[in-house]
Amino acid sequence: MKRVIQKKVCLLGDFAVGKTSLVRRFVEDRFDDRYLSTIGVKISRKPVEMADYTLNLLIWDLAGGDDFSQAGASYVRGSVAALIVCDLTRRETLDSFAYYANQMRALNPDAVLIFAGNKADLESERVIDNEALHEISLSLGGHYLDTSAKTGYQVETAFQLLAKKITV
Amino acid sequence: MSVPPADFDPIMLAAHAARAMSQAHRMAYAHLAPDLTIVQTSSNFPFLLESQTGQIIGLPVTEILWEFVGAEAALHDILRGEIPLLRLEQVNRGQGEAMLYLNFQVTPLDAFQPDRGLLLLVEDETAYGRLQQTLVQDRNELRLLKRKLTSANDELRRLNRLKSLFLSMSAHDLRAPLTSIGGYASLLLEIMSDAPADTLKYLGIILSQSEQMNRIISDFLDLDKLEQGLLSLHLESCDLNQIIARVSAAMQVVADSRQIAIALALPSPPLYIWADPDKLYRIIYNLVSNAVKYTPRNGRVHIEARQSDEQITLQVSDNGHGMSEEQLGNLFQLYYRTENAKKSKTKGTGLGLYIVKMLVEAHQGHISVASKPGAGSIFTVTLPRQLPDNV
Ligand SMILES: Nc1nc2c(ncn2[C@@H]2O[C@H](COP(=O)(O)OP(=O)(O)O)[C@@H](O)[C@H]2O)c(=O)[nH]1
Ligand SMILES: [Mg+2]
Repeated sequence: MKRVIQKKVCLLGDFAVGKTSLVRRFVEDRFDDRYLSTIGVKISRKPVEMADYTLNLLIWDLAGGDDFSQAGASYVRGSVAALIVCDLTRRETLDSFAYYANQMRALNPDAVLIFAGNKADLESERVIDNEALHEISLSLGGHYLDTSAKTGYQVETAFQLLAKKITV
Repeated sequence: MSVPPADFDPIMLAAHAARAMSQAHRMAYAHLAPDLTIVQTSSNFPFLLESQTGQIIGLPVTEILWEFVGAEAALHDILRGEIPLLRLEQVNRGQGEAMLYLNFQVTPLDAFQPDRGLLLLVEDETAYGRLQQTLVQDRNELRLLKRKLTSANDELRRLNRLKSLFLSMSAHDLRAPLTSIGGYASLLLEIMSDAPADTLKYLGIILSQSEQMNRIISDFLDLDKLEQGLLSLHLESCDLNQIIARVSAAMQVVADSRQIAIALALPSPPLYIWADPDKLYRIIYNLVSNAVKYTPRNGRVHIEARQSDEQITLQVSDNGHGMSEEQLGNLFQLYYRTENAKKSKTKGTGLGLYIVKMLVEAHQGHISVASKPGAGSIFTVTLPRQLPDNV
């Protein structure tokens, strides 16, 4: 039987960028158009099959925006990776990438960071171009991908990449 | 005062108190061994955590509560006495209506010997959590709406700029041929003065209609500038009598053709006013041409100017159809034309009075109208003689 390993990972990003929706897509493969603000944290579990072990990802979906600073350390501590998300239709959500990356690294220096620009399906409303996204993400030490929780575009890829980069 | 004998020893009392409190506050607790396995729990512990039932004693806490995966280091820090507690607030459990908000807190069982084991307290704060969720939801939705509004406004502004650009370009393109039409019509009138009366009449119509069209174009351009707050006044001292006389002369042909008399009551010596002469001309022209337009044959239009210490009053009155209360209320609105105006054969854009009002207000003035159906209308414009410095 394969080894089972549990690891805590976080979703970080401003409110309404689609963190909850990305988790829902990845774990339950569904999407909801309605917006229900998260407060506190919701933890979901999803096993990811790796070559010689099963990685149980415990995904911490945290309240976005300025609530994060209050919730702070106890939520983020002990997590080995973070998916940091912005909303491609709202420029200001990209400005927070550095903030979340630094918070994560301050508490977990070796954490794996992956950056996602969500709502890629809203092409005509997109205001952030890929060049800026890649550049900022690389400068903060992580890879970047476009995602859409709505269509499922690259959601699996993002989490798979995260899982692959986690050393066990 | 005598103290009744104690029925319970202090430990029993504490146990009863703990049970009462855990019921009142929906709390559950568990005892964790130093190796982080569960030693024992309160009876409501599996119940409060809903999905977690069955045999849990002896299992690592991280298998029962995912919340503690990744927190092992922190729990060991507590056992070593390095940190006093670990607290996780508003942990969401379950879905939709059935969702609970739980607080988790881990402290040493014995504060003086933290390495003996840990006390895990679970507190159900769903009622408070739901309340806070509603607040956060409202706040976030408001922020998103505000954002949408801002970007919709930006888009509107962009479209408006585009419209202005289009308007001024097409106005420019229209004016060039119009100038030729008007110019050649008046040239023909000059050199064909002995042509048949009908020919001269038709040429006259071409000329006056091209002038009319020119004025409509100016109206559109002015309106655009007014709406964008870009209208600038070129102020100078203007002879009001002279401007009124020019307007009256320009309207004479139309008035004559319908046997309408234009009567002037101007003071002497002439009135001087600090204003933009072109705009002042437009104000008076629009009022007089309206009066002439909506006055039936053989009617009368009266223009009067007078001054007091501070202000100049200009009145344009007619004995035309007049207007109802409802019509008066809407008169100065953009694109409003009264029922009479719509029925009458005269053409208009519905811009004239709106522009008059805007121009009067740009001069810090005021316009009002008095009218009754069948009893004609009186338009009264008051303008300050001297504009304040900041205009
Ligand atoms: N079009 C589109 N909408 C999305 C996408 N992801 C999330 N949303 C919507 O964006 C809103 C906020 O999503 P949510 O997951 O609650 O954001 P969170 O605050 O970051 O957890 C919801 O109305 C979602 O339906 C996406 O990929 N495309
Ligand atoms: Mg959320």
